[in-house]
This record gives sequence, C-alpha cells and structure tokens, in this order.
Amino acid sequence: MKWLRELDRGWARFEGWLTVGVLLFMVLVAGFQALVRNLTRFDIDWANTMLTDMEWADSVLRKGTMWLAFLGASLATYSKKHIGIDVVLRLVPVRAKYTMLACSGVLAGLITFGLVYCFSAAVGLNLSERPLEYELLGDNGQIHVCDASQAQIDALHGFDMPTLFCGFRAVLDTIGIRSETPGAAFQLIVPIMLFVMALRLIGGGFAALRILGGGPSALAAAEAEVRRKEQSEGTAEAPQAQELGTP
Amino acid sequence: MIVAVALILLALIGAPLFALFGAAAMTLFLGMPEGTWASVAIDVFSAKFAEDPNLMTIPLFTFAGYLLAESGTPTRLVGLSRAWLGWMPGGLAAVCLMASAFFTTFTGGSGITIVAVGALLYPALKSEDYPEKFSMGLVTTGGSLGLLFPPSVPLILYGIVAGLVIDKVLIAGILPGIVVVFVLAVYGGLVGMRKGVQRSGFAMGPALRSLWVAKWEVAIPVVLIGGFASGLLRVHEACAFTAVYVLFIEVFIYRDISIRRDLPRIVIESMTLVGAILIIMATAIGFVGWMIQAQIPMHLLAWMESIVSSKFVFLIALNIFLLFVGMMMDIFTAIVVVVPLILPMAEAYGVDPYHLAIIFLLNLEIGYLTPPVGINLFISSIRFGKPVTYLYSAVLPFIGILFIALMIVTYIPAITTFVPDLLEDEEEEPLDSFFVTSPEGDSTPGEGDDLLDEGDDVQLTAEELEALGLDPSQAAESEDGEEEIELTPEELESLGLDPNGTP
Repeated sequence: MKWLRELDRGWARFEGWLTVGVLLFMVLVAGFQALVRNLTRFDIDWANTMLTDMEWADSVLRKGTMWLAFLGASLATYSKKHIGIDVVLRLVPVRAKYTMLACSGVLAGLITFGLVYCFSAAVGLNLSERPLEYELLGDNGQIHVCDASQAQIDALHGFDMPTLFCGFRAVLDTIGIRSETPGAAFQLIVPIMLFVMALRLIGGGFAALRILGGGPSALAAAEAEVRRKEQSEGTAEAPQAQELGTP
Repeated sequence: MIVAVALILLALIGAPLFALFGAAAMTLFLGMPEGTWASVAIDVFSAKFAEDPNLMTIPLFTFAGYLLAESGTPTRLVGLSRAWLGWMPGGLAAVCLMASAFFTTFTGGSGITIVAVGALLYPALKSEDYPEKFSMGLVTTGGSLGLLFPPSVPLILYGIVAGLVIDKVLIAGILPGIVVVFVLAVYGGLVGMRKGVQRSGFAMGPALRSLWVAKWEVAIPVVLIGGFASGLLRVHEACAFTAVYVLFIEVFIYRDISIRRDLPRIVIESMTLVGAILIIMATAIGFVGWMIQAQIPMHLLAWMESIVSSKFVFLIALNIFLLFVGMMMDIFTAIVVVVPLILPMAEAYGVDPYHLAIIFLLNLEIGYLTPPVGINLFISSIRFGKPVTYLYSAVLPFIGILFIALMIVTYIPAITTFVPDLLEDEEEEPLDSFFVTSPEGDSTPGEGDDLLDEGDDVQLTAEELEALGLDPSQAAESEDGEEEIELTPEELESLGLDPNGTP
C-alpha cells in the first residue's frame, strides 16, 4: 500500500506544479492583455496591433480556467478539502465516523467513475466536431487542415497552418485520440482529472476501512492525526499543500 | 424518490457535494427518453461554464486574496486601522471589522479571514478588556464580513449564474456592505462604552506613518472601486490587474512572499479552493439544466403566487428561505443551485435582480454564522480551541445585528440600486454605438476568423442604425453590458453582410 501512497503523492506533486505553471501563465497573459487593452484607449499604434495579435489570449484564458478548475478539484480530493456537509461526522462517535467515511468515499468514487463516462462521452462528441475553419477541400473531399499536403497549403495564399496544434494532434493520434480542434483537445483534462479523483475517493474509502479494521488504537491514532492537521491549518499552515509546493 | 433519499443520506455522511450533484444529474438525464451520458456533461463545455469569460476572475481574485493573507498584509492593515480608528468608542472592534471585511472581500469567506485577521485581533481584543464572548463573536462574524464588497468571489459567481453584468453586481454591493459594517461598528462601540474599554488617542504622525507603510495595499480597493465606478476598469481587467499587482508588491516590494518557498504553496492552496468551488458548479450545471427543462422554477413560481400576493410578504418569505439555505449549504453551492430557482420568482414580484443578489448574499453571510452548521463556527472552534456550543451563544447578538442590516437592505432597495442605476444613466448618455447580431447565434461565435458567422457582432454607430430605419432605443443590454439589437437576415443583407457567412 505504501507504493500506492507514494504514487499518489508523486502525481499530486505533478498536478501541483502544473497548477502553478498554468496559473502564473494566466496571470501574466491576463495582466499583459489588460495593460495593452488600456493603452489602446490612447490610440497607441503598437498597442492596437498587439491587441489584435493577442486574439488567442481570451480563448487560452478560458481553457486555462477550466484546467485550473479540474486540477484544483483533483488537489482538493488529494487533501480532502472538498465541500461537503460534515456536521454529522463531527457529532458521531469515532467508529461511526470512519464507517461513514468508508461508505461515502467508495460511493462517491463510484459516482465519479460515472461522471468520467459522461464527460468522456461529451468530450468525445466535441473532439469529433470539425468547424469550417479547420477544413479544406482535398482531392477526395473535405479534409482536416492538419492532413493537407504542402501543395494544398501553398495554394491557399496567406493561410497560416496551426503548426503547434497539428503537432499535438499527431501525438494524440498515436494514442488513438483524434481531435479536430485545439479547443476540444484542451477538454481532455476533464475526464482525466475526474478519473484520478474517482481513484482517490475510493482509495480514501478503503483507507477508512483499514483504520476501522485496525481497532481502537488505529482509530485513536487517525483521530490524533486529524486534530494535528486541523490545528496546524488553524495557524495558517497547510501541511499537504506545503509538502506539494516544495520541489 | 429512492435515489433522492439515498443522495440525502450520502450528503449527511459527508460525501463531496459535487458527486451528489453528478449522481442527481445522471439519474435525471438518463431517466429522460432522449437523455444520453453526454447530455449530463455537455453544457460544462459551453458558455454556461468553460466558455464563460467571467469565470477566470474567480481563480485570479482568489489567488490575489491568498497572497494577501499569507503576506504581512494583515499586520499592516490592522496597524493602519488601529492608528485611524483606535480613538473611537469600540475602536479595536471597528478595526477588526474593517480588516476582516477587506480580507473576506478577496477570499470569499473561505475562513481564511478568521485565521489571518481573527487570530491577530482576538488576543488584542481580550487584552483591551473586551468581553471574551464578544471578542469571539466578533472575529467569527468577521470571517464572512465583506462578501458584498468588490471583488468578492461569491458576488462574481452570483453574477455568472444569474447572467447579470458583473461590473454592476460588484458596484451594487458597496452601499449595503457599508450598512452592514456600520451597524456592527455601532454595536461594537456600544459594547466598548458599556464595558469602559480604554481608547487610544489619535496622533496624526503615527496615523500617516501607518498609511505610508500600507500604501500599496490601500491602493487596491481604491483603484478597484474607483475603476468600477468610473467604468475605466471592467471585471476582466480588474482581476488581471489585482493578481499581477498583488504578486508584484508582495514579492518585490514588501518581499513577504518568497517565489521559491511560498509561491507554489499559495498557488496550490488557493487553486484547491477554486477547484472545490468550480467542480460543484460544473456538476450542478447538469442538475440545474434538468430542473429548468422540467420547469421546476415555473412550478415553484405558480405555487408561490398562489399563497403570496404582495412583494413585501414575498421578501419576508425569501429571507426566511434563504436563511435556512444559508444554514444548510455553503455559499457557492447555494448560488449555483438556488439562484436559478428564485430568479423567476423574484422577477415576477418585481424585485430588481441586483437587489436580489445582495439580499441573497447577505442572507448567506448570516448563514455562515448560524447554528448548528455555519462553517465559521467550526473554523473558530478549531482555531481558538473553544467548544462549538460556546460559539453558538457568542455569535447570537451578531446574528441579531446582521438581521437588522438585512431588513434595512431588503426593504430599502435604493441602498442597492442607487449606484448601479447612476452608472447605467451615465453609460446611456453618450449612446453612439451598438452591436447588432444575427438571429441564430451559435455557441462559439467566430474565433479570430475574418468571416461573419451566425451570432457574430458588428459594431455600428447610432447614425448608421438610423440610416437603416432602426430605432437605437430598441437596443437591449446583453450579458456583457453591450447594447445589442438582433437583426433579421434581410436587415443584415441591407448592411452588405451575408448572414450565411460571407465576408
């Protein structure tokens, strides 16, 4: 079981760093865009040009927010910080509390697996949708711009090939995922993070079962650990997050 | 019915709420004749969630709030408030209220205020001979004070869910927020006088010094409120400005935050909260979508109209209902689930949507404190090592005071609507450009291409509209605050634009 905990901790560390990267990137992009947008009020030419060149920023910021939402949700599962009604848990005896935690963890995990299926189906639909701007008329009918030959691209004067997306699309293709637009490719984070959350919830349920099986001493030790964490969070320290944040 | 009972039981044993909303959505959608697995989740990728441009304000403001809380800002802010307000009767209580309101504004009542500000002020209040129970009640109340001031995250979330103009929602909360802080400060003053609490004198030198020390932080609300009020700052720019500015001052000017040691931890902590909020919103979208398809809000409205005839009585009923909601649900879940239910009712009874937003949030602000499950009670209990039952009696007078503020805000709508109306009038004066849109908008209007897609906006001047025989006064305000007129395909063609997607 120790290796599972280590794996979980390693994955959480990866999620943590990804979250840091996404948020800081968003802060910089949003800050710079806001600055440029305000400069355009004064009819500064380079600011006008730059704002036009930054058309991608709004879309990237929206996608970034979605990534933060689901990365954050997965981290909330890791550090057991999801919003729930915990008043009953606080009032019942310790044995009943861990029985409840075991049941709620396993059941919430199973429900989250259901959500993985729902979100995978929705993302699957979005992945298969190809808007007109990603389509070209090839020799045998409509083709995706990324599948076009150099001659076909050259024939479209002034057309900018979405090289970065096409590279990413090719990588996804090798693992059997076909994405028609960059927007849909970004959505893949959602079922992936939900899958991780489902595993963590079920793992949490089984951990509660193990504590129950360990008898009164295991229950007392687990409760002492909970109290220690609550106290340390009460003094503005969050050990879980601190642990994640340290490289 | 069996599923509903099972989900309630699951909620009571502490299952995460997002899973329960997900389960409800799956059960309800898959029970429909045309329901599919994908239909449970598809709206999450639409303008209702992932494509909503306002959503990014939530992580950015929350990040800024956490940065402030983890830096030396609480100490500087308490020093500042003390230097300027310490001479008043109940001066330190007022300091606690001001500092708490500032923090909760940025952290959305996540409890961090009790930890950051309350922990600093509770010992000080006791050392100045404020009664212990009063001090405990005050710092616990401070944990949710300030939810009505911009850029409070619950206000933004409310605006997103209710489809309101975010800038206006933020402005609407200022006066009611001041009313709430004022009535609590009066109560603090009365307690201070009754208990003969010593007051510190006012000295201009130390007061100015404290202002100088905290000048970078004081500038934040000044710029934000000034920016919103003048219309120079829209909410997207405000969140970006705040995040960059706070990061800059805390890392490079005050040097309270170390990039290597503190920043990753703060990002992770703040985004953990954001994730916990947004995952509920994402999963509740399916559930709320089902409620709307099943016309639950309309059935509720018909029922309400059958028993309540006046707006006055409706507002009483609304307050009672929302206080109950505040007791049982956290603020973010309540916004996502309850707002779509009460919006049509409030509209039918003639309640201004911005007024409703403030009534809603003030009720939930009280709910944070309300026994038996108000979250602030538990946070204070853990932080200060007091039994929750002790907290119950400590916060009761504060709940009473907040209830008075609630009545004032509920029955004098002008307190809420005055400033937004003023701004609206100012905005309408120089009405010289409009957005026209084709009748059948798609969900992803033209992303960066040069073609006119269905639903794309075209900006015209008032003169151009009049030249087309269109009346500019017919323009309706859209969600993003622009004046919009929907055109028929014929009218689009008369503008030289092909509604079928020609340049």
